[in-house]
Amino acid sequence: MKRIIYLACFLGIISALAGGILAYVNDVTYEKINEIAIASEKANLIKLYPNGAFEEVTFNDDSGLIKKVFKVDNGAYIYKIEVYGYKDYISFLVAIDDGKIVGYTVISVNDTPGYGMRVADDEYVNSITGTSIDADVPLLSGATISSTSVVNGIEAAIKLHQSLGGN
Amino acid sequence: MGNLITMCIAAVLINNIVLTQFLGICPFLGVSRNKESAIGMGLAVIFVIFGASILSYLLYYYVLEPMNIEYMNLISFILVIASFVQFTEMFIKKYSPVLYRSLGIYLPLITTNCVVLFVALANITSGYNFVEMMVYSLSVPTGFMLVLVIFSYIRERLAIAPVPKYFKGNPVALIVAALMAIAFSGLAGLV
Amino acid sequence: MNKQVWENFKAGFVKENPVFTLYLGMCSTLAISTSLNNALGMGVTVIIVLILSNTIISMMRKIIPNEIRIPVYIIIISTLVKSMELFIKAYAPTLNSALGIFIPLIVVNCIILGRAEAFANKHKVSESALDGLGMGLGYTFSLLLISIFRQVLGTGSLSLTNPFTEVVIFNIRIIPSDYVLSMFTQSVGAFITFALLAAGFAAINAQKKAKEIKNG
Repeated sequence: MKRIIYLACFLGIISALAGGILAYVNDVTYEKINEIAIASEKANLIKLYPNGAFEEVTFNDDSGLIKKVFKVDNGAYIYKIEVYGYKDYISFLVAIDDGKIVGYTVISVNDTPGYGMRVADDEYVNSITGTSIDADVPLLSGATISSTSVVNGIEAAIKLHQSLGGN
Repeated sequence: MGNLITMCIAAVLINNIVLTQFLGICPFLGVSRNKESAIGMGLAVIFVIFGASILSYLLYYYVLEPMNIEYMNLISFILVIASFVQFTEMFIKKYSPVLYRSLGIYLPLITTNCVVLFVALANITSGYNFVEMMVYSLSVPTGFMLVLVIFSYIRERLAIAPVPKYFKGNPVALIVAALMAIAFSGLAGLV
Repeated sequence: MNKQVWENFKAGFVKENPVFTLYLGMCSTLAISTSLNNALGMGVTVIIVLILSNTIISMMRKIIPNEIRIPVYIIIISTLVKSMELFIKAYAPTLNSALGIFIPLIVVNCIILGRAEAFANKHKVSESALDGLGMGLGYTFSLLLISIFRQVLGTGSLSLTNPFTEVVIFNIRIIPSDYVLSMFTQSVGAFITFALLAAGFAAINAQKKAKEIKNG
């Protein structure tokens, strides 16, 4: 019995030490990791508007797909959307202005090469950019599930865009 | 519902954990020498992954996150897995001594099986809800067992085939795995 | 350095190569060995974790109770791996996105737990640290072999980028891009490369053994 208590205490002390060390390392690296996340987000926004100034706005979204909304200084709105594609989450930005989709860029996608990954291809990007918000956003055959999710996300953004007072 | 079925098919066939994601190779090469141990190992792994994933999931969302100590996820998951494997070992020892003897040392080695930790971690990083997590945690090890059993059938034949000297054993097994990988990759674009 | 220790160190490269001869730690090996960068990044991380874990476990070998030694090793190794993961996320983010979930999976890399159990808990600190270095270098050596093979045949060029500063160190094109065999960057190529190299190592080891028997 005494042995078991000794073993349990030993395990407890080691766990506590381990936890303490990890808490320390976490503190040291936490800020740097956050900084990197913010910088990479900015880098993605700049892909759509190389010279823009961005401001994050609060929003009310029922679909749950829209994660962040940014207002660009020229009046456009950028929506950061995260949808579940074929086998993993697809995270992308869509910029809406003047009744049209003016920009679309994929931040992260982890799908089957040649199939779901095509949502990030230039071909698809070009087919989306410039379409009016009233028209149907095209799907990709062979990547039905991933592109349907992407289109759902874009449609949620269009709905939100109108409610935010964008043009 | 359709989403769940798609996830299941994807995890078992299209993104098969062994042939596409390269996890679980150690037991794949080690236990697949005969059919019975392959089936036994496969079932044990399904049981362990399903149980350990549920426990890890609950632990993460009800203990680690509220207390803001998400960085303890690695230690706590692996301890949950180790304990669950220990528990499974005792269970099998009591109810099926034959299976226990045939699995031998590979049973406690399920703890270091990459697949178990991978599923526990992936459930969190993919942001699954409880039902999706359960489907994923059942589908992935089913894919593992499927490949393991197919492989064991092939290996039984391979053991008596005329294989070149230095390829005997594991190297030729890996070539077979390569051929299976090609076969399974033909399923891409299925759904 | 006495001969036994040096022999032990050398063993990690061919005779007891963890990947091709002992078939340990294969999971991460096949998945990430698609480029030189990944191989070096993963290799160096594993070397650091191996040396530290061997050292710590060797230092504590007299006070760890025998019944709970495996859980204790696991706690020590997970702490080390998680700390490395946080450092990599903070200071080498491209390496983090390339290796992804395989960094935390180093915890279940059989090599580390295997060496702790087989060596570190029975030998002095200095010997254990050296063993960790030897096995780690052997592992990195294997990763480099597979990655060079796969990167050259699969993409035609060999490149190296500094993960801390994103500066490209070199980028040489060896095979023109029209002639690459892209299957080597995918699962098929990984298995085939592994099989060929494993057979190669088996051949080398068999020759060495035959020579030893002839001489000894």
